[in-house]
Amino acid sequence: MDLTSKKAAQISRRAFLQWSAAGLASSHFFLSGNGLLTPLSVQAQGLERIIPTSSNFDCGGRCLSKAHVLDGVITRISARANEELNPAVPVMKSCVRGRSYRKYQYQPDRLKYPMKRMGKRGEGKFGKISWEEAIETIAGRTKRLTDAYGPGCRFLAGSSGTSMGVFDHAKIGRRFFNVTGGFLDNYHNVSLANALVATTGVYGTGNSGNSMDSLLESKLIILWGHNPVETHFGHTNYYLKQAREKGVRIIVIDPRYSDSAVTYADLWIPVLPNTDGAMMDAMAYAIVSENLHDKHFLDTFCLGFDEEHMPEGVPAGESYLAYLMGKKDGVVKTPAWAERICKVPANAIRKLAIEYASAKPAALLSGWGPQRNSAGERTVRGSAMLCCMTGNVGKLGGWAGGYAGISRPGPVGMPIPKNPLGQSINIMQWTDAVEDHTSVTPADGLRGTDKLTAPVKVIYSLSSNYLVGMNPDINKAKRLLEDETNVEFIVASDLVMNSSCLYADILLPSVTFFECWDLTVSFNCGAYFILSQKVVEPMFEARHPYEWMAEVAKRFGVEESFTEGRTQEGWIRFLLKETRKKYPDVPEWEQMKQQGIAYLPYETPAIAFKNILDDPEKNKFPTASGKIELCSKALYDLHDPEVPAVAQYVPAWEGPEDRPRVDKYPFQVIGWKTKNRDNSTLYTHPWLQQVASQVMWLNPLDARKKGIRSGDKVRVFNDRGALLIEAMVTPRIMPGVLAIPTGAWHSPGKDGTDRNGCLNVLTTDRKTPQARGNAHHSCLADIARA
Amino acid sequence: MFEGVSGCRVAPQADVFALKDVNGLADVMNLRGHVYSLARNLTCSYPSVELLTNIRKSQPVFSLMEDFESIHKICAGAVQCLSDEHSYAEVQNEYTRLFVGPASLPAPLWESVFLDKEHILFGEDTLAVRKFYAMCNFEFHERATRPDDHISIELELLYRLNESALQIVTARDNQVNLKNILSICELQLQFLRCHLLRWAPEAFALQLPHASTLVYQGLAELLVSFLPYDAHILIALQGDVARWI
Ligand code: SF4
Repeated sequence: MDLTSKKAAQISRRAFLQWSAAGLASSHFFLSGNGLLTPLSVQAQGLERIIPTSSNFDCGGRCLSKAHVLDGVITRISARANEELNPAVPVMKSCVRGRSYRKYQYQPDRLKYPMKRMGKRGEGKFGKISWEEAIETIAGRTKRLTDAYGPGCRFLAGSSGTSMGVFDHAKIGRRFFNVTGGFLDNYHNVSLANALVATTGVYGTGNSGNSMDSLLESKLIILWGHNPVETHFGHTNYYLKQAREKGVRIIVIDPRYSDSAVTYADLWIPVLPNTDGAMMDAMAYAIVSENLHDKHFLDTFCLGFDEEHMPEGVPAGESYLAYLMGKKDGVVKTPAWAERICKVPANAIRKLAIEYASAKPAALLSGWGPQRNSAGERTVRGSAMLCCMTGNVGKLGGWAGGYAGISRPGPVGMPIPKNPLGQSINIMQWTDAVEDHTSVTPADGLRGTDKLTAPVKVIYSLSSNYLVGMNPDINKAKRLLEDETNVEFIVASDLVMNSSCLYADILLPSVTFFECWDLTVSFNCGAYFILSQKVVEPMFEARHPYEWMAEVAKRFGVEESFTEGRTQEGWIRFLLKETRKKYPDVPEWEQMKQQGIAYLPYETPAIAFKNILDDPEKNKFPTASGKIELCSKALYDLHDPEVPAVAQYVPAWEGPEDRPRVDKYPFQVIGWKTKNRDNSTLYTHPWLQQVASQVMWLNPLDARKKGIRSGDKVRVFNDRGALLIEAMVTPRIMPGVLAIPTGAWHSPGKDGTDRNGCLNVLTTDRKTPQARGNAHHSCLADIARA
Repeated sequence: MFEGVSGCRVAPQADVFALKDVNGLADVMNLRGHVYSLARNLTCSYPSVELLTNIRKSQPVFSLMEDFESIHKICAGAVQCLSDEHSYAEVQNEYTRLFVGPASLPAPLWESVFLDKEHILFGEDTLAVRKFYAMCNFEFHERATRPDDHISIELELLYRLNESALQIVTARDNQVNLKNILSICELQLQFLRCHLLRWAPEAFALQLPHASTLVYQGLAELLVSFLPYDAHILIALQGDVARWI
């Protein structure tokens, strides 16, 4: 180290005199390159503008964020004012994440320049390159590999970072691939696959949800594994709060005493994960025992509840009632039977069942957490079963259960040209398609072809931390990606270096929602959309994927079909115009820029299937039979014990009855989505890391057994991997269950143990039996003090 | 002239130096110019062969700064890079790690990251720096996409101000305008005290343990020590010039 400043003061005289005698006048050392500073051309205006905009994250809410902009810089973010609430279409005020958007926008960790991989894949060594070089490389390598393996070798890792906008980066990627010959598309996602498939089986559609204002007419609300306080499902909280104020009783069923339980619950019933089905069966049994089931509804609208109303071709003894009474297996599904499995006291089950069946109408909202497990489809079907038995389907204040999609007006989406290849896989098959494409079969979800002709060789990962983040069993994914002979070319476009970007060959800096245009929507219960305005220029050399893909498309000779002559802003203007053709009340561009939100109010609450109840002659359920299929002939024909014809409890793999695995790994590990991030987006945000710490919840009984105290570092492990995390010993979680917040970015130590508490080193990528979906929350592990 | 910058008054110091004449003044300024352009160039972009060659050429000049081991380290590093490809590649990689990314930088070299209450890019301090540039009749032309307060730009401002003073000194036409020199020194001192000194030495102290090449170790050490030192130089210059007036 050189001089301290004090010493500097002492010696400056000597040095100074020495320098001054140097006679240097002729020596010169210039600035290299162009000067960074130029003569002042314009004086700053100093006028603040307030621009309404919104994020496009995969967040259930969708709030108006107001960017205060001074001289091209966002100086502050504010939320919708109280007076601006439109009670007909309530748009929520920004949550804690929204209040932190400025720090997210201006984080010093933003990716700033295009880069190329220098070391081994996954090693993290990159070098800065020009956009020109990046584009040439992307075009060249994509072309070469497409020529060698066909367009089916190209795959897209979707973008939960931008998924709630019409200009979602994945949609742009789809457009690009489809105009350049097609690609191996994917469907499902790890949020809701099981719920959607199971609900569609029962009702013929996933749109089984009412608009949220319906909740104000409920006499009882049950949140079953639903945690909207942290996940912000549209404006669910707005109505739950009012229901609560009105005195509507709210019961929360969850292995955790969640924030939603804290906020709303009159009663919390902890249930062991993966066993919800047993509890549902016992509730059904109790309802029938008390003769509280809605026979008229079941007889009129459903197939499969009792032997008298069975789908054609299914033999006797297969109805749900027969199952409840143990006609085949000799086991009567009493609350006492269920208690042994799900750990909910029989009395509590019975009381809950009677209460639910007696409160009319009542809404049983099943969240998406309990369906993200190996018994997920059966749980969803079970919830729909209970809704039918209690006659709450198609009723104001009731709820049909299941996936609960709501068909609402919204903005016109980005047109995606048809995939010329016509092939797609279920997202859970992507590692198979990399490792051994011949193992990818229609039985597991391959669509559009019997077999794949090529492995995945090219991946574009766009605003997505899926590959080595949200994907289950990321240690397996890492092994596959590290081997450069598998996937030969990976492009990642993102904001920050996340754990998936590490595997990129070309790494591109992307734009935030403040830096581009979009139309954004909430999860399905909000009847509005927002013009997400470009507020500032993209930072450093960041570019929207649309911009660089247009360049790549040019090198493929299809720029015109990719852009149709429109800029990014041009597309949003166009889509707004198209939306106005459908909904003329939607404001035009200039007005949207002022007000931000387009309200699409509806006159009465939207109630799923009400039209069918009102006029059953004319309207039918969109199933093959026209009825609600509580028993399914198609499923019966599978003769798969894991996919029973009726929604009965079957012990789940990686669940509490999965012997002998559970003897080795006695704890069930579940994840939950926290208030401080959206999936893994915002994970590194320092403020948000303080909002909720990355700790593992552990019941005091288990903690005592293992000698663990709050604050201890704990190693959680199974055959797939291990992680380190701080323990929080709390009765807010039931015994036998560990809960770890999802979305932590993977950060392995030397021995491969994750140090951030990234749950997906433990989870399995085994596919669920019916939907072939994900089972993140069916995960057995053991723990030890680290 | 400086009223817009609150809380940054420069305390007068009694250091008086015995500069003999204006030529001595030019020498001091020239040396400062060397140091500021060196630091600015090394922080601004990848060290090119041209830059490294320039550093090597300037070695005799830098050798005058015998109290600054760090600058000799930089020169030695430059010489090594020019003769050895491996060292050259290493110094390039190091620039990537320390100044580019993609992983978190050990010390993100923007003033507002250190001083803004939110520790962000484009914070309040960035706008204050932008104002200061405007006060000196400059602007950073890429400010729409890059923050104005990156270390390289702040160093360039000092280089530029020093240059303009040097020009006055070396304009041998008639009387040297000492008052102007005085106010340009004052401006530099203000910028050091209100901006650079408040964050840059700390930032480079943070960066130093992450630097492994001679060039960037030297640079970090140089900036930790030279910037506070330079404030004294400026005060000394002011003292002498004021005496001449
Ligand atoms: S993260 Fe979601 S709920 Fe929070 S402010 Fe943004 S859009 Fe709203």
